Amino acid sequence: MISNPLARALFFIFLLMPACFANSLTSAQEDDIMRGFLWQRLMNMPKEQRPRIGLTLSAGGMRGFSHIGVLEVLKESGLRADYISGTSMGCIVSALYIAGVPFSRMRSLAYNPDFTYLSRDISITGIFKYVMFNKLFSSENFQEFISKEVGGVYFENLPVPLACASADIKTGEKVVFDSGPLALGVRASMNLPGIFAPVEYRQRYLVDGGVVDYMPVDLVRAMGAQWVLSVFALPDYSRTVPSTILGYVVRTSDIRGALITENSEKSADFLLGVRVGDLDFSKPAQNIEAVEIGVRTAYGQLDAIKDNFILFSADYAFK
Amino acid sequence: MHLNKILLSFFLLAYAFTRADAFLWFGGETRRNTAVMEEARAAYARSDYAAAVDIMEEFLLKNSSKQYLREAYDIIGRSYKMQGAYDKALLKYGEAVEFFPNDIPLNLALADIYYIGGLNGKAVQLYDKVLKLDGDNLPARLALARAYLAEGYFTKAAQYFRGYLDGGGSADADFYYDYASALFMANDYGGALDMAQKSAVLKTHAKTSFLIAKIYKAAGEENRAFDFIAAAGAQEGADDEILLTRALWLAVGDGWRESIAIADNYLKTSPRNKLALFIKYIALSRAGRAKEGLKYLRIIAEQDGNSGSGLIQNLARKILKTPQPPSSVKTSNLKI
Repeated sequence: MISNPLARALFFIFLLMPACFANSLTSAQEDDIMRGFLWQRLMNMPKEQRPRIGLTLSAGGMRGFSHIGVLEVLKESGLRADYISGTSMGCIVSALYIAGVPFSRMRSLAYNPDFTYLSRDISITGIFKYVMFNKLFSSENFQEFISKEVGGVYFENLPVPLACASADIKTGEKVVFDSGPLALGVRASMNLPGIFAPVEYRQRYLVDGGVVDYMPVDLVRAMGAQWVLSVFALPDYSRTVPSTILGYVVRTSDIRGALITENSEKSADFLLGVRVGDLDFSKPAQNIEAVEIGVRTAYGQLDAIKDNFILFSADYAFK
Repeated sequence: MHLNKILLSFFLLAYAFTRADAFLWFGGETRRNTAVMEEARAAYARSDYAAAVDIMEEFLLKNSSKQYLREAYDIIGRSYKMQGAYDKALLKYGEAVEFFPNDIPLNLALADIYYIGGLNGKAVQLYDKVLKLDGDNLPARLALARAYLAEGYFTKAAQYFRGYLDGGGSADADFYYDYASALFMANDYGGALDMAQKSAVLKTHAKTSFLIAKIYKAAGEENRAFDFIAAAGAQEGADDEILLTRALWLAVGDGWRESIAIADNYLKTSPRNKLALFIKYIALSRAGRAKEGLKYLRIIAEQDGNSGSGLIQNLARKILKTPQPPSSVKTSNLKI
């Protein structure tokens, strides 16, 4: 392995070194060296030679902007997800990420949210119709918006397989999008019931997947993931009482979501909870905070995530 | 009418006396304050930090005017910093920033204390605030870059190192090394190599050669990686991390013989070193002597750790299929 005479000579110097430096490494430093080495080794392996990695991003409305920060950190760490699943905001962020939308663009969307992207009905007339005639908003605009962002791609053409959860409001069934137009699947997954009209697609009436699967760990498992990292934009209802209809709808969805994620929490190999707190739709500055909380939470837990995966992959690491 | 004139003259005279007295009094106080400040500056200059603090603390207690207030806080903060009393410096600079929220040097000084104390999140916020006040502030850009690097937010760190250079900031070997480290951790190997080489030109040091070795290794250029890590081992600043990292790299490849030699030699002086023991196991497994290697894993697995079991110990237990102690492997940052 020594490639030149100089290195060969230096090798003997190496052998003399321990006497000079003995006991200078702490256990934590030894672990750091091993972690860095094995993480890089595993991430450089083709996926056939290491456990296949699944990543799940939970629903969570505006709190889900924290997923952007988490993904930035995970990408920088070299983590290569082989399969990704998401619900609602988790689906939106993962779709943009896999489709190659830069983080700077995602951050800019979070920092400058424009609710007209969601629906053309968000106007005085639309709100009047909503209140007086129970006419739900159409989320068609959102599909067009996503389509423009991702360039009209299909699930099948994504470089990393993605599955998004939505729910059929007619039957209560979970409907999984892992093929077809990406923008349609994303729209169906975030289609908040009671606010947006169901998306009619192949005899289904689709609403936000958070109704049935708030954190779809099962979807990445079904795709073939052996080790799953699940990111949960935690609800926090301790600070405020909702003051609007939308606030109540979102809060109810959060409470329900937290209750139905119990199994998903247990089935993930690592659960990364991001405590964003309660966000006010009218204060975009809080979205910036949400992204940064995502970054800091992910950094804070990165060594633990790596250790968990390395231990899971111990049988592969030294082959 | 006459009485009114007398009263008016009396009030006018009284007012004039008051003003004059105030003027004289203020003039006197200014002179006294200036003298006190001179005294404190002199104490600081002769490194008598305790005296500087005492003089300025007394000054803050007695003086109600804003004149010299900023400097008084600064002298106290700097004195505490020089004494290594960072907690006190933090409190003082914290008070100062409350009085002068937009004062750039005070904000920078407070941020530096946070950074020194490892409170990188707080430091980042303040450096960021300074840059909002003065976007061209080069010390703030550099400090923010280093705070992000310490925090582990490598892309941001690299961005601010770049910003510092673009703004005309001067760069030394340590700067290029830090910038290279940020780029390396952000997976920009080309940029990292460029900066690390610039650092190496300015100063030969083991840590720089080691970084170059790691960059080559990550980029898949094994031979160059081994050349540089070998060079690092012979340079000023060489340490155990370099030695054992090289042994680890050798252990998984064809260099297992050298790896065993390094580990054996190391274990002579540190027989319970977990990393060296694990390297021995890997190298022996590579040599087809896995059974022999297991005894080294057992030594690791049976060690008592003061701070709980770490990664290497957990790995050893996993391979040996011995039960992990409860909660030794983290599965969440939440209580489930």
